[in-house]
Amino acid sequence: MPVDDQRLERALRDAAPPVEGADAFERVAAKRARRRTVRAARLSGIAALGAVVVVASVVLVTRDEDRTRVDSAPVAGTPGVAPVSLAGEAGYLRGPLTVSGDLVSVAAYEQPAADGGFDFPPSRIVRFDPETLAVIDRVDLKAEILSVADGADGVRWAITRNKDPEGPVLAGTFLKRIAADGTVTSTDLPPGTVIGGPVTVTPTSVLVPTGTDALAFDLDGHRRPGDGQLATLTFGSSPRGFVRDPMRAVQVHGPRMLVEGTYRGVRGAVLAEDGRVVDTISLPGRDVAFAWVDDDTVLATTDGRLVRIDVRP
Amino acid sequence: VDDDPIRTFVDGEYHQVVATVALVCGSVATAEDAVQEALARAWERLDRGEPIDRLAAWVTTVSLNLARSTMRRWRCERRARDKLGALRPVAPDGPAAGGEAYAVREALAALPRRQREVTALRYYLGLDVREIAAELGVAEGTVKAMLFRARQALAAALGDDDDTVQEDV
Repeated sequence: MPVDDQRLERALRDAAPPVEGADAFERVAAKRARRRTVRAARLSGIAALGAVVVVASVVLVTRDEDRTRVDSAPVAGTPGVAPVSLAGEAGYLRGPLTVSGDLVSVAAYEQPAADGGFDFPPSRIVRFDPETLAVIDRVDLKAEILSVADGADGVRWAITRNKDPEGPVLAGTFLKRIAADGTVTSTDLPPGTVIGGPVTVTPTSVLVPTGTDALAFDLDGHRRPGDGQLATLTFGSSPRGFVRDPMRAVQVHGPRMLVEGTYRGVRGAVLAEDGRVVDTISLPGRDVAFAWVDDDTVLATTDGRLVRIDVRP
Repeated sequence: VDDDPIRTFVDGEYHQVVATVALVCGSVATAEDAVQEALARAWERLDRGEPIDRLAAWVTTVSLNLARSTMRRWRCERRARDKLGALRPVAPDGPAAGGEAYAVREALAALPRRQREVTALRYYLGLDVREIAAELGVAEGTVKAMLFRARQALAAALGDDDDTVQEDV
């Protein structure tokens, strides 16, 4: 029997997945509200930038000599890299630096003056608009933030680790579920858990890689039975293992992707879709992390600061 | 702006448009996210006083574009992961289909993306060739050619050993 329209229509109807959509309107309303918030933040950021430009112009005009532009000075020895500042955020910034819709998230800590490094508690995940650098929201936490990932419905997931996580009884690592309204729910990971990679969210599960295996959780943060057998993760071939050698693809933008890590000595590399390295980025300093924010721009952290990098091919 | 057009869409065409996008991208969650994002954008346009003549068509086009971007990102991320080590594939979401429906899903997934789109729009959403051409921004002849090739591929999935397929598309 040749394929006719009616048979194809029937086959497609049978093959179509069922759609529930019980709270679809509320989800659309939430997305609309979030887009409004981002737009308002951008507008206020542009207004604030305008005000800064006016004030700066007045200052420069009234001063005859000794004009300096701290924020546009390149990081030493790295052309195309310029320090930038988040409005109202003075902490020590470091990865995970992740793109979340139109926004970028970064981990922020206290910065003791003693050694120039960072300390916790407290810690926080700061979400900001990469265009205006206006802070949109903060999630207050206590421990070191190892990774952050987006889930559905505005939910975000993070893995955190206490300073001394090796205790045999007490949990030292945690899976954090961050609801769209910022409410944090914490799940203890089993004592002694060694985190092997960034938290990964699938449509039905949240996976916490542990080096050669993964702990699995449902979308409410509850452990799934039989976890540890759902996925086998093998990262690279370094005998030193993933934990100490965290080469990973951090961002994909159009046909290009960005890789960070220390494997083979690469700090940052822009790869074409065919895997060809088209650019490399080498930043001085500690706690280097990258996030792609538009076609030609990468944001990065280094030594607790945020920098903008021009990666035009 | 009152939310009547959005509520009406959600109560009416929403499920059909989500299923159409899910047939194209293979994930109900991605399809729902894309359609909801498209609706949020439509709502903003209406807020600004910019009318949308055919909301269902507009949302379908925008959500297909959004799902396409998501799929492109997935492909790049998968390639990046593959370079770093093997990851056992995760089963697609949504309940498993059996028999012919499963075969149709598999055959759809194997089609080039544009052929998947025209097939879902034609045989699931019920649009005609002219409407599909308008939604996807391609020539009617292109739509016909893609439908013809897609039908050939789907014929095998439907257990049709006869190579002859009707060309009245």
